[in-house]
Amino acid sequence: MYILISIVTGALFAAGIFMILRRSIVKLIIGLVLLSHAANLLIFTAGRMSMSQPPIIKEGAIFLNEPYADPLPQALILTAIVISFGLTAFAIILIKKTYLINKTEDLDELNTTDKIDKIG
Amino acid sequence: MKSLILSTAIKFLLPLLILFSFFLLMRGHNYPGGGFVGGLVAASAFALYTLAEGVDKAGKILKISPEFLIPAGLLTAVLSGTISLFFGEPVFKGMWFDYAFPLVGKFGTPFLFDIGVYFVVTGITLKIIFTILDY
Amino acid sequence: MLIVVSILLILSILSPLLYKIFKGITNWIITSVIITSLILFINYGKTIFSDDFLLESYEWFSSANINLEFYVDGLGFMFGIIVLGIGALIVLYSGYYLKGKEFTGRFYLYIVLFAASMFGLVISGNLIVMFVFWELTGISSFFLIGYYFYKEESRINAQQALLVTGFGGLALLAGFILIYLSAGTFSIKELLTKRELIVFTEIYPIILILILTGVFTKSAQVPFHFWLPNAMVAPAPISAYLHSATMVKAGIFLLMRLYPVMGDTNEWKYILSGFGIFTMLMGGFISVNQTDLKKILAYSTVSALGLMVTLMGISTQEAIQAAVVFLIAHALYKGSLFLIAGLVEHSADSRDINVLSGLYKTIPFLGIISFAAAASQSGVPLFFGFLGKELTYTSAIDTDFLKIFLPLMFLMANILMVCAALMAGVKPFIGEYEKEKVKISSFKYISPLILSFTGFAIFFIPGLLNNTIINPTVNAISGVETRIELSLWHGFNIPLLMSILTLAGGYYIYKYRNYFKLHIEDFLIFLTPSSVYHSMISGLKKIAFYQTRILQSGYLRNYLIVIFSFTLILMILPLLIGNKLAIFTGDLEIERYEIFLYSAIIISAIFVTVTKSRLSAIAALGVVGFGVAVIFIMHGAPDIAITQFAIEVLTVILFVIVLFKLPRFSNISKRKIKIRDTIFSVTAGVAVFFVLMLITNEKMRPLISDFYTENSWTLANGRNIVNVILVDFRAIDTFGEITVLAVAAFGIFALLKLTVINKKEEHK
Repeated sequence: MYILISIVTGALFAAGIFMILRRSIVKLIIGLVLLSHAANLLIFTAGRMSMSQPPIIKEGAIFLNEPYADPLPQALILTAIVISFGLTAFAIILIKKTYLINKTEDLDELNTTDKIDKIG
Repeated sequence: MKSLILSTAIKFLLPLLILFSFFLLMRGHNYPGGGFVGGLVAASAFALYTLAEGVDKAGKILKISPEFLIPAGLLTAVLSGTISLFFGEPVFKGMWFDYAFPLVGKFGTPFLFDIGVYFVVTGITLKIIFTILDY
Repeated sequence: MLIVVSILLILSILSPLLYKIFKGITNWIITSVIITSLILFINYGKTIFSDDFLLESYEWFSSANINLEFYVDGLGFMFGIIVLGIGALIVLYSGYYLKGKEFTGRFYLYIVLFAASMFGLVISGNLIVMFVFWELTGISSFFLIGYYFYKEESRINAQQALLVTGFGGLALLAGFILIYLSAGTFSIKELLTKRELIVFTEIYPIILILILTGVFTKSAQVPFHFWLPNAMVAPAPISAYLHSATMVKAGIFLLMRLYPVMGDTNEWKYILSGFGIFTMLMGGFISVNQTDLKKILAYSTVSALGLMVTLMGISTQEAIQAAVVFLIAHALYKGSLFLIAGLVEHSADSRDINVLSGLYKTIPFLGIISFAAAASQSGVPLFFGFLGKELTYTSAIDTDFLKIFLPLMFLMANILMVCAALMAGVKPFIGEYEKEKVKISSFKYISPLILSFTGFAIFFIPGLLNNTIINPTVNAISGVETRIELSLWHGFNIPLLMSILTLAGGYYIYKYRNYFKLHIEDFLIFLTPSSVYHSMISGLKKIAFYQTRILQSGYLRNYLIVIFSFTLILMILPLLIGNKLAIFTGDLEIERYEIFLYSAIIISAIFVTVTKSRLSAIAALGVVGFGVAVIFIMHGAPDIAITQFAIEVLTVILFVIVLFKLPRFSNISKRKIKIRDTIFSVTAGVAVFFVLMLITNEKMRPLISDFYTENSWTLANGRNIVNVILVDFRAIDTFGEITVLAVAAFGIFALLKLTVINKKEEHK
C-alpha cells in the first residue's frame, strides 16, 4: 500500500513546489497549503501505516494490543496541522496587505523595500 | 453577503456545535477528540455565525473577546504545568485526583492543560477571522 | 539561596513599575530591598561558619546532570556580600546621579538584573548554572553600557563588550563541557574532590586555555582588555559597579573557584603570571598617560585585575590571601573613585584632569572622600589598601617562583597605581580654583563616603574581618584548613621598604609625569587588539555585503529554487551513490478502493496548478485537504482526521472571506519558465517518492512509541494515546506550539492595523 501513498505524497510535493514558484502571490499561498499537506503525509507515511486500530486503549485493558497505528507521528502531525493553519492565515493576510499597498500581485515587482515610504 | 439560509441554520447549529466542541474536549483524553479539535469546532461555529450575522453580533454573543481568550488559555496551560511544583514534582508532571467524577471521569492537570489549549485555539481562530472581517 | 535570587529577579522586573509609582524615591526602595536580601544572605553565614559550606539543590535537567544548585562557602559568601552591599549603595547613588534623565525605570531594571545575575554567579553550585548567570551578567552589562543608546559611541562600545565577553563565554562553555567529560559532573561540590580526574588528563591544557579565555575576556586581561576602557561610556555608577567592583572580577572569582580543581600546576602558574604581569604593567603605563578621569580609572582597573591574576598564578597560600585582601580593598576604593568621578563631572562639567583643579574649595567634603579612596589605592598606612599591598609584596618575596623578577614587577605596577591614584583622586581637587560654586545634593555623598571610609575603618579591625571573611575565603580557595593572621604591623622589613619606595616613586612619576610621557602610545596602538577587533568586524561586514549581493537577488523564486535544489541534491545523491534503488523490494500491493481516493487527490492537485479560476482552485484545494483527512481516517488516525476536517472548513471560510479582495489569477510567467518549473517540481516529487519508498522498505521498531503505549493508561490515566502525548508526555512542546499560534494571531492583528500610506495613492 505504500507505493500509492508515496505517489500521492510525491505528487503533492510536485504540485506545491510548482505553485510556490509562480509569480502570482495568490498561487504562492495555495502552494504553501499543498506543501503542508504533503509534509504531513510524508511524516505520516514515514512513521509506517497500517489498516489497523487507532492508538486508543480499550476499556478494561491496560496496554495497547497490537496491531495499532503509531501514535507518535499522529501527535506530531496534529500540531503541525494547526500550526500550518496559523501559517496559512498569516500568509494570506500578509499577501493581502502587500497587494493593497503595492497594487500588484507580481512577486517580481516586490524585489525592493523602497516602495514603502511611510509607516505610521 | 447575508444569506437567509445560513443565518437561520446557524441559530440552531451554534449551540449544538458549541456543545459538540465541549463534548470533544471532555472525551479527548480517552477517545478521539481533545483541546485542538474542540477549539477548532467552537471557532468554526462562531466563524459561521460571524459570516451570517457580522462581527458585532458575533462579538456580543461570544461575550468574551478573543484577545482575552488567548492569554487566558495560555495562562491556564502554564498554571496546569506549575501545579506539580507544589507537590515537589518537576514542571508539567501530570497530577490527578484519586477518585473519578461523574460525567468527566478522572480529573487531572493534563485535562486543565487541554482546556487551556481549547481556549487558545478558539481565541486565535476567532481573532484571525474577526480581524480580517473587521478590516 | 534561591529565595534571595528570586527576590532580586522579581525586584528587577518590578522596578520600572516602582519607578512609575515612586519616582524620585525609587532608589531608596530598591536599595532597602537589596539590603534586606543582603541580611537574608548574611543569615546563612552561621551555617557557612559551622559547616564550611551550604548546599541547596533543586531538580532541573537531572537527566543531563544539570541541577539548579547553589553552593556557598567562604568564597561565595565574600563575593555575595560585595555584590549586594556595593549594589545597594550604587542604586542609592544612581537615583541622584540620574535625576532628570530619561529611561530611569529601565536603568533600574538592568542594574537590578545585573545584581541578581552577578549574585547568582557567585553562589552557583553547578557549572551550567554558573554559565547561565555568567552570560546574564554580560547581557545586562550590554544594556547598561549602551544606556545612552542614542549615542553611536555607546552602541558600538556596548556591542564590542558583548562580542568580546560573549566570545569568552563560548570558550568557557566549551571548557565546562570538557570538564564534565573528564570528571563526569557539573556540580562544583563534587568537582572539588575530583582534581586528579582533570589535572592529569591529556586534555587538561585545552580545558585550561578555554577556561582562561573566558576569564581573560571577562576580567579584561591583555589581549582582551580593550573593551573595558571603551565601556566607560556608561554612566558613572555603572562603571563603578560593573566595571570595577564586581563584573570584571567574575573572572577572578572563577579562577578562585576552580583553583582547587585545576590550579597550582606549571601551566597554570606560567600562563596566569605571564598574562597577569603583562596586563598590570601595560594597564599601569597606559593609565598614567591618560587625561580623561574615567579612562585613568579604567586602565588602572585593568592593571589591578592583572595584579590579581598574577597573585592567583603564584598559587601559594599567602598569595591567595593577598589576592582576597586586595580584591576587597580594590572594590571599595575603585568603586568610590568612579562615583566621585561622576560627581566631579557633574560639578565641573569636565573629565579632563588638565582642566580640573581646585575643586576642594568648591566641594571640600567630596575632596576628603576622594583623598581617602586615593590613599587606599596608593597603599598609605591606615588604609585597607596598605594591607593588600604589604601582602602582595610579602607573597612575592616568599615564593620561589620567578624570584626577584616578581617583586620588581609588583613594585613597578604599584608605583604606577599610586601615580594613577594621585591623578584621578587628588589632582582635580588641589591647585588653583577657577570654577563657580556648583551645589551637589548631600545625598550624593552617601555612597562614596561609605565606600571610602569602609576601607578606612576595616583597617583597624583586621582580626574580625580575618575571622569572618578573609580566612574562610582563603580556606575555601586553597582547600587547606589554615589560619594566617592578618596583622597591621610587620615590623621593619623588605615589604615595608618596598611600600615606602612605592609611595615615593608614585609621587615622583606624578610630579614629573609630563617628562615621563613615554612614547609608548604608538607602540601600544600597534599592540592593542582593539584594531584587530575593528578590522575583524569590518571584514565580516564586507563578506556579508558580497554574499548578500550574490545571493539576495530580490526574487523569491530564485531563493526557493536554490533552497530546493540543495535539498534535492542531498536527497538524491545518497540514493545514487549507495545504489539503494537496486535493492528495492518494497511491497507493491495495491488495494482497489485506494485507487479512487488517491487518484482523486492527485487529479485535484494537478487541477489546482492549471486552473485559471481562483474559486475552482480553492475548491480543488479543499478536495485535496478532505482527501488527506480520509487517508488519515483509513489508517487509524481519527484524531488528526477530525482536526484536518475542522481546519479544512476554517481554511475555506478564510479563503472565502479574503478571496474577493485578492487579485485574480494572472498568467505572468513565460512558457519557458513554466516548463523549467514543471521539470523541477516533478523531479522533486519523484525524489520524494523514491525516498519514501525506501524509508518504508526498511523494518521499523517504534521504540519511543512503545513507551507511550505502555504507560499511557498506567501513568497518565488516558486511553487516547495521541491526546496523552499532546497534553501530558510532551506538554511543554504543545505549550510552545500554542504560544507560536498566539504570536501568529497577534502578528495578523498588527499587520492589519498598521496603516501604510501608499506612494501611488498619494500621487493620485
